[in-house]
Order: sequence, then structure tokens, then C-alpha cells
Amino acid sequence: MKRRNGLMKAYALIAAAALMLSGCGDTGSAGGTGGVTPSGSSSAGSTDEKIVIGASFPLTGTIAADGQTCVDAINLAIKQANEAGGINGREIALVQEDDEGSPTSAASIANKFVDKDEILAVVSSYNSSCMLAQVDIYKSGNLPAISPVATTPALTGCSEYFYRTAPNDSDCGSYAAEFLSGKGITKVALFYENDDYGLGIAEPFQAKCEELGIEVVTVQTYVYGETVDYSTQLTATGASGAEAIFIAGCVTEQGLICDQRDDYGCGDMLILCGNGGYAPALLGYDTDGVYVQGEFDNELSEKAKDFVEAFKAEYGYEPGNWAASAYDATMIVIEAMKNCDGELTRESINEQISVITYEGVCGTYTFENCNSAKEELMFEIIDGKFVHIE
Amino acid sequence: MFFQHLLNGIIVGGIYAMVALGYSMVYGVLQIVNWAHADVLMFATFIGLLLTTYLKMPVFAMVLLVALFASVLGMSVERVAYRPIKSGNRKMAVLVSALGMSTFLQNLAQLIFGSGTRQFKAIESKSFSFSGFTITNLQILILVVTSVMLLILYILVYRTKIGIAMRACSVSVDNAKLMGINTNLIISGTFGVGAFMAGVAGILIGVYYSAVYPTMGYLLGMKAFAAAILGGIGSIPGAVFGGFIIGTIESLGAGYISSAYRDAFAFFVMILILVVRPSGLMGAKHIDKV
Repeated sequence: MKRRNGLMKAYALIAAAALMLSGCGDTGSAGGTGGVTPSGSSSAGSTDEKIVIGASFPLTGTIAADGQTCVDAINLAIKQANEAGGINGREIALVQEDDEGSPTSAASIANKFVDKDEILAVVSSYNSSCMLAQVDIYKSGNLPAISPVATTPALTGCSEYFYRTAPNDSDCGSYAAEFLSGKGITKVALFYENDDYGLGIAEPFQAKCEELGIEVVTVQTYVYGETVDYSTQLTATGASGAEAIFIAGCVTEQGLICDQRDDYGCGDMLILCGNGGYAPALLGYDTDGVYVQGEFDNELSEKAKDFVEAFKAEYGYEPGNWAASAYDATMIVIEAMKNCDGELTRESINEQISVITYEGVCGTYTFENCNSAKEELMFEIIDGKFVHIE
Repeated sequence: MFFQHLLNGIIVGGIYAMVALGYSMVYGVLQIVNWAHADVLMFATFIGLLLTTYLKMPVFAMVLLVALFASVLGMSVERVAYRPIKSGNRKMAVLVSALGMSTFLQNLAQLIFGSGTRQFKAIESKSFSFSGFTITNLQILILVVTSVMLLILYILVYRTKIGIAMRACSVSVDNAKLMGINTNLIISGTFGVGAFMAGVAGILIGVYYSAVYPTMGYLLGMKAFAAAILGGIGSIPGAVFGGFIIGTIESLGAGYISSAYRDAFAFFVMILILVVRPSGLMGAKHIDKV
């Protein structure tokens, strides 16, 4: 009996620990911004209730840092809007959920958002694959969604309730090829992450390379969030005679490739990272002299400078491409809400977003087939900073 | 280029071999798969990262401390999750308990260390190249450490009394008990030795790729397990051999066929070998008597 008691205690301990962990997970995903109105279903129209915006981003997993920077930007936008008096005096609240960068979680979060009547608009999501999983669910609930980061061409025009402040991958891919051509590169190695995002950039990149007479000498792929060993890819690249490497993927993988390139005879090649790399995390790797694509120049306008100032004051680090995009996305939703006459509903907000012309920190937005054209910019990493070069 | 791919393969193969040993040895004595093995590795690697980053500990001392930590953690896993339920014929319960432990460790690591990928730069990388062939100081280090560890393990298992006791347990725990062997101690020790190797492997791979993250054990563990099965689970030389085979085939396959199927090659080879030799390359022929 005594032994059994000890055993029970051990199990109780584990159970308690497990409960604690799952409990923490819950508060992590719901919290941060002061919570949601505990309101019933009919509350959306009444004037003293908070207006709720949903946000679905990866807050755990390998790109947690990138998801967090977006959520930080969204929180900043909402805070500024509330300080300026909210929407006709009504305060805005945020419900944030963690989609882990996984399409499965993203889909269940989308269902949750659609079911919560008090949520009137959504800023979501980070990964193209997650957004593809969510977009039809939002459409079924007439819930307008705007994505700051999901770039895949597959999303173009797929729903009248979806918009994005993210650039389109085909623009990124062809811009990268043009840049390399301008640098006099004739042979390039293409690395892409094996999913909707990587492929979305890789295909137009290859097409443009062919047009410009650049030979793609080797094509290497890797798995986002999983591959840490690039020895085979880089060995093949080192032997292929490539003069440059273009990496279409997210920041962690790009950083690891940059770190490992010296060991496999790729140290002298020009490295160009797709826009997934325009995030502060890339600077922690061996990336001096690396070129990075992006769509946000923090010197572009007064508005951009103000945003950078406010962001740094609030969170203590510099916002990157996606933080800027998330800030714009949130501001567009808020602006659309302000533009609504009469009752604020999902439909009326959607109506307003579809016709909006908004001057954001990355430029001016108007949506056509869910896209808004964005100017592609090129940065070089010099002394641990992104420097705008063209 | 062939030799370069081969070298890359042998290096990861050595790491797989060191991890595979942990699976194989535990299976040898208990006939259970210790799913938490790769997560012990991950946890230990994080400890190594902390020791290096915050205490600026010299590499050698750090590796030793991490390996000791890993073996204590490995033994604790056995004590908490396996020993209480392994009596009687409850393999399924142990399997579930092992999976639970794996998930628990992974989530605990996410909670404590965060879920992002951390860089681990304990050793400055230098590369030496001669006639189109490049080798780095880290790769040499991995080769040396792996060989030394495998040699020590060989001596431990085949040349010491503890080794005899371990092998006796792997033949039959009950009979070993009758011969006066403290089987609980030996089982605990087996977990400890396996985890010790995993701790060293974790540091090597963490520093080699400069990436430490809470799910790093998953794929690594899967491939090491495939290596153990391929070599014949329960067999120590089999696990080592399997590790090197998986590593090389994966590297050559990714290099010459397509890097998109890199992870598939390892498992494809495992399936192929199991179809031809169900007990693995070096596994003992086991006949279930009814």
C-alpha cells in the first residue's frame, strides 16, 4: 500500500504539472491585451461595448519571434487608436491566438473567430499555408480578414472577405531576379522552403531568370521549421559553379544557411534573402554583406519614422518588414471601422476595406483582388543593420 | 563532390549512431522504446547552451557537465515514468508513458527556454580545404569525439563486469536477477549511459548547426530510431552501423537525387532492409514460441 501511495503522489504531481502547463498555454494565447468583453451574441451593435479584432499568429514554434513582432505592431496600432478616442468613443480590444504556424491550428482558430459574434474583423495570419487554410472559413462567416504576411499568389482573388498588406510573391521573385541581373550574376543557386511560400517565390524567380538569361544551376529545398543541416545543399551548390544564392524562405533557415555557407565552399557567393528575412532575427547570424528584400523603409516618410519611434519606445527593438505590414493592416481595419456609417457589422467593415485608400507606413494601399501593389526595395546588411540601397 | 557528400553523411551518421545506441540498449534490456530519449538530448543541449552563454564555461567542462546532467535526467525518466509500471506484461502502458514523458519534456522546454531557435556558438568554426575538399574543425571534432565515445562504450559493455551484467539483463532480466545481479541498478545504468551519449551528441549537433530548439529531438530521434531498427534493435554494433548507413544514404541521396526527399531516404532504406531482413542487419533472430 505504501508503495502505491508514493506512486499515486508521483502521478498526481505529473498531472498537476501538466495542468499547469496547459493552463499557462491558455493564458498565453488569450491574454496580453486586457482580454475580451465577456459579452453575449447580440452585443456587437451596442455603443458602450468594446470592438473586438481577432489576431492569429504563430506565438510558439520556430517563428514565434516573427509572429510576436506582428502582434506587437497590432497592439501598438490599437493602443494608438484607443488613445485617439477609439471608434466613436468605443474602445478596441484584441483577441490573440497562437496558430503555431500550423494550418490545422490556424483552421480551428478561424472557426473560433467566426463563431464569436463580437469579433468584427481579423488580422491574420503569418504563414501562407495557414492563411490558405483559414480563408474559406472567414468567408463562410462573412468575417473580413487582412493578412500582413501571407504572400502566396494562390490567395489572389480567392475571397471577397480577404485582403493583404503583404506583397505578392511573384513580384518578389521577379524583383530578386532583376536585382541579380543588375549585379552581373549569370549563374545562381536557388534555395527555397518546400511549402506555399517558398514555391510562390521560387517559380516566378525561375521564370524571370530564364527571361533575363540567368542560369539557375542548382535548385535546393529544405523543410521550414525542421531543416538545420544544409551540408548537402551547400556542398552541391559549392560544386555547381554558382555565383550567387537566392534563398526564398523564412528568417531562421536563411540565417542558418548564411552561417553554414563558409564551411562548404560557398563563402564568396553573393547571398540574397527573400523578404522573409527582413526581420531583426537575421542580424544575429553571420549575415554581414548579405542582401535582403523588403517592402518597408523606415526612412521613407514622416509616418514611417513616427512608427519606428513609437515602436521602439514601446518594445525596445526596431520593427522590421512584417511589423510595419501588420501595423498598416491593423490601421486599415481601424480606418475602415471609422468610415462605417451606421451600424458596425462584419459586412459593413468589409465593404469599407474593399474601397479604402489608405496611406500607411509602407506606402499607399488600395485593394484589387485582395492585393495592394507594394514597391519592392533592396537592403544590404552593413554592420548589423539593414541599409536601404535601392 | 562525392567525397564531400560522403564526409557530410559520415558526420551526421556518427551523431545518429550515438543517439541510436540509447534506443537500442534500452530496448535490449527492457524491450521498450524510450521515446523520451531524444527529448532528454534536447533538454541537455539547452542546459549546455545556458552554461556557455551565462556562465561562459569552457567547452570541455560544459560537455562533461551536460552529459552528466543528461544521464541523471535519463535515469529520472526511467525512475518516474517506466519503473513503476514496467512490472507485469504492460508494454502498452509503458509505451504510452514514454510518449507522455516525451511530450512533457518538450513542453517544459518550450515553457522554460521559449520556442524559438537559439544559436549555439561554443566553438569558432574554421574550415580547411585541399583540392576541392573542405573539412571544418567542428567536423573533425565530431569524428574524434564520436569514435572515442563508441570505443569507451565498447569497452564498457564487452570488457567490464557492469557490461557483463548489462548483457545478462538483455538476455533475460529474470534470470539475471537469479544470478544475483541488481537488475534495477543495471537498468538504471543503461538509461544513464544511453543518455550520457545523447547528451554529448546533442551538444555536438547543437554546435555544429548552431541551432537549439525544443523540437530538435523529434526528427533526430526518429532517424536514430530508424538507425537502431535498421541495424537490429537491441544490437550495439547494429545501432552504430545503422547510424552510419542512414547518415550516408541520406546525404548522398539528397546530394545526387533531390534535397526535397532528404528525410524520406532514411526511412525508405529502413523499410527496404526490414522487408528483406525483419530483424535488422545485425539483430538476433528472434523466434516467438507459442
